[in-house]
Amino acid sequence: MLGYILKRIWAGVITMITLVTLTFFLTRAIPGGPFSPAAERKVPEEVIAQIEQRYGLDQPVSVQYLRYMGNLLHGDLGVSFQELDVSVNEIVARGFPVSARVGFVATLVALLLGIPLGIISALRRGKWPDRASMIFATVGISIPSFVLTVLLLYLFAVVLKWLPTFGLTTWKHYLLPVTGLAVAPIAYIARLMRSSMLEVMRQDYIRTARAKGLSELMVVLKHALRNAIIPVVTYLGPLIATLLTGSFVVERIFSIPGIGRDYVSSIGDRDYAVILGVTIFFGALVVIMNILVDIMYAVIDPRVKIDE
Amino acid sequence: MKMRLASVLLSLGLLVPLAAAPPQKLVYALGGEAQTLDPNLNEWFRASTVLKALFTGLEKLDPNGRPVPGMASGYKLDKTKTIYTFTIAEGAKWSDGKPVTAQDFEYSWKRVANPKTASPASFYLYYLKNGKAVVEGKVPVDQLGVQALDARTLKVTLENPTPYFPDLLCVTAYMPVRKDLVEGPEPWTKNLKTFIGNGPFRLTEYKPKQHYILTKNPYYLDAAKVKLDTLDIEVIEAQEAQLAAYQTNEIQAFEDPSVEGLRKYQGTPELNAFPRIGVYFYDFNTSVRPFNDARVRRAFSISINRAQLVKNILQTSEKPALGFVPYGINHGVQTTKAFRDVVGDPIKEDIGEGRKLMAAAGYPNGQGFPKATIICQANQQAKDLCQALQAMWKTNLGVTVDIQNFEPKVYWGQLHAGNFNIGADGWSGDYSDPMTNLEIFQSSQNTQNNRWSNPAYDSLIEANHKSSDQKVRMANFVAAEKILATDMPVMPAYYYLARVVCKPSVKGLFKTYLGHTCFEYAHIE
Repeated sequence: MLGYILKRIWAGVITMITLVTLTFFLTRAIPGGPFSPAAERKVPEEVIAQIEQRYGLDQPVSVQYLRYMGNLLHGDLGVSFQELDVSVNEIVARGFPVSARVGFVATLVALLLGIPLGIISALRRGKWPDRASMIFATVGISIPSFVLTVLLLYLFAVVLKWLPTFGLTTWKHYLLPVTGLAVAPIAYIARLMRSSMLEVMRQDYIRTARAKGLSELMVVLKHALRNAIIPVVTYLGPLIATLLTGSFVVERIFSIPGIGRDYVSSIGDRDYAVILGVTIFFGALVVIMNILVDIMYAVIDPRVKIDE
Repeated sequence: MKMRLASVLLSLGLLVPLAAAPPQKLVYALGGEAQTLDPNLNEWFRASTVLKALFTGLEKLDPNGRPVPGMASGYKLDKTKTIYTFTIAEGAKWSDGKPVTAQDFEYSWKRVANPKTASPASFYLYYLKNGKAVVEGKVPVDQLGVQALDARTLKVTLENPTPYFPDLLCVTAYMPVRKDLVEGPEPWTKNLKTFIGNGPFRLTEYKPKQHYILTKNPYYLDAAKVKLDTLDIEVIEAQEAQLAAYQTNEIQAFEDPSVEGLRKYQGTPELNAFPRIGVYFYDFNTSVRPFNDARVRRAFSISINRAQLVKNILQTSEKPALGFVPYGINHGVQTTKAFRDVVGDPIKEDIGEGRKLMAAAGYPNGQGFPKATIICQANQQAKDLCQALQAMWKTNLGVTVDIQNFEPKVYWGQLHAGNFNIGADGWSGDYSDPMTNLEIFQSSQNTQNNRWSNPAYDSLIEANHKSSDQKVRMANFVAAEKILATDMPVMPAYYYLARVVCKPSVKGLFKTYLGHTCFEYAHIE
């Protein structure tokens, strides 16, 4: 087990180095730079040269890369080119907890609603609960998040005046962004759970369990669920990483000062340091989540022999 | 009996309005965070709105857009009209109670011009003696034309007579910062204790990407006239969210509404529009065929319908631009009237004349016209405008123009590099004088994307740089505009407007001609 984990960690490190290197050179390859004009006014070239010198952008790209990797070893993600005197470490430390708070609640909601919906629709296959939940699942996956969030904002804040429109200070502020984030994963989990449950319920050991005289509830909870949930667990790793790191659309519409908004803005601004820093952070999160999911496999499914 | 009457009135709520004044708190939505809180490094719109509430220069703009004394009680101008001697007002203080001195201004202006500071706003200092040379590192900073003679006297020497210099003093680059704080151990703008300003408000709470809470600055020179106690500036990026927050009364004012917001509040007292001294125009690349021919440029410019563009594409109340100097800039002689109203429009739309010009240039009914491309930014409005122009030119001149769009960071690079035939562009001025919108077409300016040059035009602008006789200057500006209308290196489309939507109870809130919101005179009724 320990050997397996170490092997996965080593693979993760290689993945991270590749990610940093690729992202570093790709950002430099995009046309337009952090201080190239993004408006009608041209800043004099001599001033641009001074600014670029300050950030070390006057150096050859290879020198910039080596310098960046050196700083990265010390945990220094660099300084933002757009926000003066603000480091990328500060941006991550400021934005991630906010995105993670909303994302964590959204993940819980997605699991607590998605799994039961999938089970019910599998057990009542072809009947109205199945049809209703699958209609919800199809609609939930199909509606783009920018449509859904604006719709939620308009209906619950403007028309019904039940919920606030911006900020994140009370529990009420969480309801709309969490819904905006959770609808698509609920729908996806419900579909995953349904198909996997249907397959498991056809297995011989389920028939045996029923033949033993176990109640249907016990059959589902004790025997079927454990196997049927494996695809959901596989999906859980990337889902948690995605939800914790925030969504540009949801954070922008509900004015949430999260990291998802910063990330997307940094690409438009060509803020190399923020693009790289946040990519590294997100990458690390995905790698860690995937390792944790692999370990969870072993716990819930004895057939997975990780030592091999 | 009296007591009984009073209690009846109270229970009816009739006495309450007399007794309770509304809280002087304004919640204002800003479409993004201020790019910097250091006025010396600022050249952005949003940051200017926040910074002008926190800092004040020697002069400030009043609600009529005129410069009035800010930190200076007044100034003397010498006979050459190039040396200003400002007196710092008695009682001018920083928000921690320390006096504002002439040395603060000298330090700040030298800091802006110093190449080591690498301030994007350093070009504002070009008007000072040796300004450009200092910024370019050719002359030492101590030779910049600013000198504190004593704590309350500031001598400013300019390169040329500059009648609009008091207007320029209202931009944030000319605002003072404190040497002891700037050169302190920590970045001074990141800590509320070291973030000391001299404006009508002081910063009491700042949450990045969320809000700025400002409270009235008791040490402000004009504190007695500032009525707002609290100014809460909330950062709300999405226009839909701003509109929603306004409708639910979570905010009382927001700026530059979306088309949806405009439709909702157009024609109501809640929507306030102010001329912003800028023009949206299209550059013709005058160095490449077919737009190296002035007849073609003129034909393209007079064969469109600007009023239709504004009405159908923008769906707003901007004025179609038939000139190059926007509204919001007053005439130098008839100072209470807009330059535009006094001198009239130099461009006249005339499709018939456009066709004749095309025929004279060798393209009758558009025949033989080479492939041309109009470029714009990849946003819906810019693309829609190009499509409308494309249709107008096809119908009116028989020519086909392709459209190409780019994201902003790529777009401006394409435009500056000259990779276009026609390119969407624009310009917002810095001060209320036609110079701010006309000098950009001088050959020596680095703002030229159209690659156009005209010695007669250059000499008119140069003459006005050296003159302070407003009669002569205005006549020169009219002549310069005529040259532009004949040569047509750019095709003006519409004049900019700045807008604020605010609740009827919010009074005194306005946008300056620079498009910045001014909170100093605002109050709640």
